[in-house]
Amino acid sequence: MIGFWLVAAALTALALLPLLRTLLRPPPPLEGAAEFARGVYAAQVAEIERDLKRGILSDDQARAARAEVGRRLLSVADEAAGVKVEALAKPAQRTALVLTLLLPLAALGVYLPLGQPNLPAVPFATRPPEAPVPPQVMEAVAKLEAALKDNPDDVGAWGLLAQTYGAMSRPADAVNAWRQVLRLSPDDGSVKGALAEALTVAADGVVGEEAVRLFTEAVAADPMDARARYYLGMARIQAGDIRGALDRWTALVADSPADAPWLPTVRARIHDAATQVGLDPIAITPSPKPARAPSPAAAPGSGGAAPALSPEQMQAMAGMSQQDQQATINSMVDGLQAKLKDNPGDADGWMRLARAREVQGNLDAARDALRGAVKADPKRLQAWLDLSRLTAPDDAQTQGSAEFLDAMAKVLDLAPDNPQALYYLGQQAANEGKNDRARDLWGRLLKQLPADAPQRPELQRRMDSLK
Amino acid sequence: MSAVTRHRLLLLLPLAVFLILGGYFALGLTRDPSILPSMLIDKPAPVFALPGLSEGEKGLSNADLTGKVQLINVFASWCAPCRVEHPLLMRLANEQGVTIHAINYKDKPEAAKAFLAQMGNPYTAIGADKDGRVAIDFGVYGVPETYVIDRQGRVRYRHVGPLMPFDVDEKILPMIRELSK
Repeated sequence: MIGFWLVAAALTALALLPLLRTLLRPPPPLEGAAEFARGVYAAQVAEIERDLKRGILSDDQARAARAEVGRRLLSVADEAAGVKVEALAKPAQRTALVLTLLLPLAALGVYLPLGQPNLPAVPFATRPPEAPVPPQVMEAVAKLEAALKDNPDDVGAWGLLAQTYGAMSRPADAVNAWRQVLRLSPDDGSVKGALAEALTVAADGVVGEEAVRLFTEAVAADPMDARARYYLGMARIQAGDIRGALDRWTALVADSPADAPWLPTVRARIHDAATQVGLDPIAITPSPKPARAPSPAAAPGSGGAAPALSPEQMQAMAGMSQQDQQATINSMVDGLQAKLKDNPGDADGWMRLARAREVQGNLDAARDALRGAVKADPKRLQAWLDLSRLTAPDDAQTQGSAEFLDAMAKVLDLAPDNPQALYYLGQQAANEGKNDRARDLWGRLLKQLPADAPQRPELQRRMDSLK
Repeated sequence: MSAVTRHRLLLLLPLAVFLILGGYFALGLTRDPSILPSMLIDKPAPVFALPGLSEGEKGLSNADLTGKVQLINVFASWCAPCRVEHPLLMRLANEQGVTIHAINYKDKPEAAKAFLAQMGNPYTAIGADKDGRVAIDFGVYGVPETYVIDRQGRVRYRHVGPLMPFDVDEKILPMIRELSK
């Protein structure tokens, strides 16, 4: 901002400079026109004398002509003197001063109400920054493409390639790859949806006829295909049928659980569309279904429900409001934790607590409980697996924390074929320069991977780079 | 008038030119640039006969323009705004029963066919205007462009640029209804 004002000030000064220079410069001596006229008249007088001598003019005529020339000479001299006096007497200093003050002020006066220095720049074509495609991905894509040339009926490879093209912003290629997937599994509704979405992306977001047909088939296969239903609403908007779109989207909201990830987007679209046709978005948006209650039994790898409920307790809870249910569960979990403090050797109790904490979303507490579980029973594979899952690094490329690697080592002791442990411990070994150990671990992992596993090429590449 | 005053007045000339131009442009700013009146309004459409997209396919000529109120849509597969208005044309043709004829402007027939396969084909007949000659006769400014043609084959309205839902609801459809009476 400061930079802008400095530049603006400098430019104003630059604009004033030539004006001031001209205004303050002493006027040049006014010779030009008057001097020239004097020369002409002198020549005329000389000519009159010549004519008089040659007898072309009489004395009287010569006198009259001389007088005429003299008069003209005088008038020219007067004019020149007048101009000179005017120009010299008023060296436009006052004008210069007024201009110096007024011009910047006037510029400011125009700029302040009209200027919008905070307006974002509008580039001619806004294109998404091209995310550099990592060379590993390029390599993997090339390998996939080559493999598909030999074996064009590999559905899994086509699907992976299609997704990768999509992520690489190559929509036309993604469309072709999804067509191959659909050719090989012609009845898969989700593939139809994926192809239709790729077609839409390739058409700059316009849902064309083919995409509409595929999305419709996808919804027929799975009425809860939210993606397809969302795009079908989009298609109605693009066809100018806003009410048709609203019908589809509000129905989608009504069928969605309250915690569905797509709800905010659909709601925003409903809001925009409803406002366009003068409807109240709140009035027409139905409430979604209740959120899919986080059921402890659904927790990954669950070996037993979180604090087990007696049938009476279950019955009692069924009559409670959702909030009361939650409060009851919380108090029971806290009670379990208190009990384990007195009896830390209860590995089953720790496992239940960990699961309950994870379901509640309190991952720190879940990790604590798992630490209690492995302390109580160091041979419990599930506890180590859960602990490694909760301490795993976000990204498979980075090395995990010491606790994570330790958990993985324990897992490998208890289950020598665990692929995750083989992968991460291999990575640790590679990072520490223990190439033989890394090759051994990764080699064991490779042996387990199916021949068409997408991770294979990358892993092979990393193994090769160890040599 | 003396030589010096004349000299001074000459210095004012650039200012005068600037003021005249500025006034002209200021006037232009108050006008809607999207309104491009057609020379053809209320006149018969130019005489033309275009072949179809491929050999043996029906093309488009003046004879097709009479007898029924209709739209002529100038499109090309390479034109992004055409894609934007396409769902609207699909709805006009399939759901509102509007006859739409097309002039495929400076396009490759295969590309145009692929475009229609993906986006749908709302056109009753398509004339392939490969060199853009007929488009020039129509005074086409740039694709997409849409003309409303009355029963007598006269151009009644011209829309430059992609059709938007409100163009269709507030202008095109009422006009078609009016002309069809």
